[in-house]
Amino acid sequence: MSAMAAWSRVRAIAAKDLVAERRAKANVVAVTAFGALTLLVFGFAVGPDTATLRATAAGILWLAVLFSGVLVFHRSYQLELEGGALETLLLYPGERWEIFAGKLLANLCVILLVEVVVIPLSLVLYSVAVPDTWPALLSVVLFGTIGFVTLGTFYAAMASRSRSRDVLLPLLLFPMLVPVLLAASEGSAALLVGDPMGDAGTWLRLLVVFDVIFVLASLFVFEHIIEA
Amino acid sequence: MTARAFPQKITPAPHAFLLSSWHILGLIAPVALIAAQAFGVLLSPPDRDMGHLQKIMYVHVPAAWNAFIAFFIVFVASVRYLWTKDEHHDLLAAAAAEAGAVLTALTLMLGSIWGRPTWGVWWTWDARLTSTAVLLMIFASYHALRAFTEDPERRARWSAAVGIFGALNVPIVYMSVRWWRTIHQVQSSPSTVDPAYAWGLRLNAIAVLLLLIYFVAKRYEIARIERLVEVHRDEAALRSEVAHA
Amino acid sequence: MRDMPFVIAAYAVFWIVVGSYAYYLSRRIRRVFASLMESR
Repeated sequence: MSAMAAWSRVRAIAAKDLVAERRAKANVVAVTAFGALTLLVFGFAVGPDTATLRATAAGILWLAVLFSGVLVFHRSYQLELEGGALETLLLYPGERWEIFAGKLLANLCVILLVEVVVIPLSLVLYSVAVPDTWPALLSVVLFGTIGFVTLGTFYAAMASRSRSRDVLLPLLLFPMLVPVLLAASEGSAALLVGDPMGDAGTWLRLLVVFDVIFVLASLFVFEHIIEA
Repeated sequence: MTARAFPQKITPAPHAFLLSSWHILGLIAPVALIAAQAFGVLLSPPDRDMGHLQKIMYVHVPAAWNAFIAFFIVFVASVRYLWTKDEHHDLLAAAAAEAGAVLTALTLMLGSIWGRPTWGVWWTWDARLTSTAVLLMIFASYHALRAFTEDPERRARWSAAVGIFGALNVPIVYMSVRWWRTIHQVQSSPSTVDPAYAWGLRLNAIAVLLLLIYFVAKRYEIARIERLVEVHRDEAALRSEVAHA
Repeated sequence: MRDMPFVIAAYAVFWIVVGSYAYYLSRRIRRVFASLMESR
């Protein structure tokens, strides 16, 4: 069954990337530390007034995720570039979209891992109580993260191979993430106070639509941008 | 090596006839602009609320509309490039992206000039202006990618991907920013234009469109010639290598 | 009438931006044509 074969290839690539990431544990730890640092630094910038902190918590949380997350995507491609393994990978049987799907899954696991630390930390630093609507909040986090990681994985395929890759990735990525940032921050902000106006549903729908469009677009276009 | 292998045929371009007649637009467009602007400024009455500030719409709105048209050209050319791998589409996309960036920046400046006397601030996070700012950033990232990618074939493929993704996102960005504004219930910008001003807007929009076509055609021509020069230089380099061998 | 400076500024900005870009394109096309002649 070719679908089974495709899935096993996707899983294999994801596993390979995750094993490499686990061997270099320092990277995930450093990224998480940077996320925590971003939360702290934003706290200093905003000031110690509890009301202000609570009001801005959701937005700052997502900025922390974005700024620290960007650092993860290059590693997906870096290892293969340095070892010359990308050529070999491209010669294997299978479609190129499978490479993208595998890397997407691996990056998703890494970013979610970072969020497991950063999100609770933000609730603590910004004095936000865990709301009753926390399951819905988790969906917003999940779908926001999927959108972020999809575009991050896609653009990093190009940016990692350029000069000035450190500035190019955020430059390409952040304008594209405006809908995700808006939907995730506003959805999270609403849910953190129990979503009195019922806005979160619309934001969640926007995130899902965004994710579907860009996962599909990435799977289609990836073969045009990846090469040895 | 790739610079030689890549261009299938730089001259003549597929639509050579159409392209060679664009020069005349260099005269027609400014004349049309002056005429349309004169029509708008002199013949339209001051608005009830905005007064004479309404006249700024005759430059701001057509610039905005044509910026989006330019982006649409980038999208279509990008898709056609990935489909056919014909370099001409990439050069057209790049030309439209440059003109589009200029018009987008202009739209933002004019929106700011209009906003200052109206709202008292140089920037409002109004849905359309904010979406336009995001569009400018997408154009900027498109050009940054091109600037940092040396190989012409790779540059074409990557730009096409960025152009397509950017275009897909434009309506999503607009919707999300608009919903964001609605939630925070800030005052909305005066949206619909009084029918009295419709003709002025149309004429100015057409005039700016002529200007856009002129800019894109000229920039495309520049891009084509630049590639041709590159090809000649590579051939000359190869010939001298062979001669010395 | 106190808004007139802004209206004038808007039209001035329009023509300055459009004019500058047109001028830039003219310079560039001339330069690139010269290098084409040279490379032949």
